[in-house]
Amino acid sequence: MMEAVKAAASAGLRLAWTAVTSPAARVAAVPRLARACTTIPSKYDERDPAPLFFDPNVQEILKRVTGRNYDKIFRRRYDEKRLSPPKYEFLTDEELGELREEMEKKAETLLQMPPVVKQREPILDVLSRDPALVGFDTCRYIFTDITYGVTDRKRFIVVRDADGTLRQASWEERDRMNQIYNPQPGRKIRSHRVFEEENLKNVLDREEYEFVLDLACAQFEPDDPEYQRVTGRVYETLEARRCYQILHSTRHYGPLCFYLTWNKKIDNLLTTLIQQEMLSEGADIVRLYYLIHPDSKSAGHHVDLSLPLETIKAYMEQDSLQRAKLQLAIQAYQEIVQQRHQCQEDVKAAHGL
Amino acid sequence: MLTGLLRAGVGGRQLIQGWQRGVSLSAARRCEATDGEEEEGRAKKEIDPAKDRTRVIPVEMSLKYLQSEAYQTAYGEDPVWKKYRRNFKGAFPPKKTRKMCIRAGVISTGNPCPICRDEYLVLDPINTNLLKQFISPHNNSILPTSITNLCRKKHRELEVSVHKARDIGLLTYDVPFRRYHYPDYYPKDTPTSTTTTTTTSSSSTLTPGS
Repeated sequence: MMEAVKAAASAGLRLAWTAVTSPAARVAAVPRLARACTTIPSKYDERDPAPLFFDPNVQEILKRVTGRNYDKIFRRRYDEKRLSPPKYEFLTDEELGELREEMEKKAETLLQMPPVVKQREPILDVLSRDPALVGFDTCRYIFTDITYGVTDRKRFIVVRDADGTLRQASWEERDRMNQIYNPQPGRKIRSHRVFEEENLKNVLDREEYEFVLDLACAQFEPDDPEYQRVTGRVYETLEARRCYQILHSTRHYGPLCFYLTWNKKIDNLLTTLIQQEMLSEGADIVRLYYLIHPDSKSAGHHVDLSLPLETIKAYMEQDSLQRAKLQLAIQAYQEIVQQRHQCQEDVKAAHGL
Repeated sequence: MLTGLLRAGVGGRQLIQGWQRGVSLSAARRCEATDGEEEEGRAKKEIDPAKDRTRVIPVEMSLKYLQSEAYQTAYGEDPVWKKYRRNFKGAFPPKKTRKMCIRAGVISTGNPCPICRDEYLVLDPINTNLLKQFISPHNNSILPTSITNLCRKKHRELEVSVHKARDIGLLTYDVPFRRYHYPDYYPKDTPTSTTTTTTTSSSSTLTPGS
């Protein structure tokens, strides 16, 4: 029985389980404490994550961890566009190489990560107070500068209230005006009802994570508290259900890893990666953890690039919050590797080599 | 002669309405007995129960219907519009389907469209199993009436239900790609370093020209 379990584990048990079970079964299988609604998503409102997120080292790690499954990146998009028949071309090896490089660049653009920035502060800037204008009209006027070439974030939008105050428009008013005069595709003036709690729960139970995240990217700015609430909620649900691989090879995997590392919740992620034998990704996550939390206990240790298992072990011994599970996973992995090696040796001996 | 005709009640309303000249047509002139009979007859006019669509079917009933044996026998695995045949003269169907099949709660046509003919098919955002039958599996667009043969009123109701369902999230789709201009959120000239923990001043209050 143990042999069967190990064989199944070595074949990627988690992937097989995901393929066989339905979303409802996976949701029900999660222990009670890990229900999505019990965890409140944390927001980036105290420490600013932007300097770390845009750091070249961090960006490199996040891009590397995301994965490059081109079938998933270039999958068919169900976006109501006219379908065109496939093209078949005869190419030489050089042309094929050139095309492959072009496609890799295109994949990079499609995998652009949504920025992770601090929550925005409310705008309270008053330009002038004119009590003489009280009662000039029953409604307030919003003046928007629609000059061509000005970005939405730098546009001048001011409001003359009914009591005569001339002030800078609030963030909600800014978003609304920008969408009216400069509409973005996929964005609505009044936000989608998906982002309300009940509907969001429904969508997450159906495991449509990518849809919600893409919609949040289209509808909100990255520093909007609503965006951070929705994305935080999705990341917490993924963390509870341990299905990180659904976002693998998408643009949201990087911000997911960043969020988990920021909130020191990488243990389950590391366990999942070890179970799927993606040790280099695990080591990258640990390196990311050291970059984001340089004051952690094992950060000073020398990180050896060629020994990902050692990096993970160092993290596990010093800073891990769920040591037992991680240790078990590492042990299981080491046993599998040893078994596989033994198997190969036996086969060689049998062949007389 | 005219007054004689009017007194007898012959010809009825059509005859009276046809007159161009201002003939005095007070109600007292008309025969009271025939008037009473006409009113009662109108109230008693029977609607064929197969064509009666005054009863409002709740969505929950429609959801149950789609899982029932009756539905399975009627439609099987096909979408509800698959086996419907539209009637028209000539080889090519008119570009538009009829405006509506149901007028004043009664089916007013001989061959109603796939939704109007079955009163238990209710177009509602919750009824995703029905809505999905009218959405193309290839590019997620709503199928045109040239394929589904719905009357224009039901097609409009279908469009509204699909948009509502997509707004709530019951039907998913691929959102247009949002490209970010990173310098908008983190100006390039700001020094990025993992060792410094001081936050850079990304201004939330707006000043012109910055």
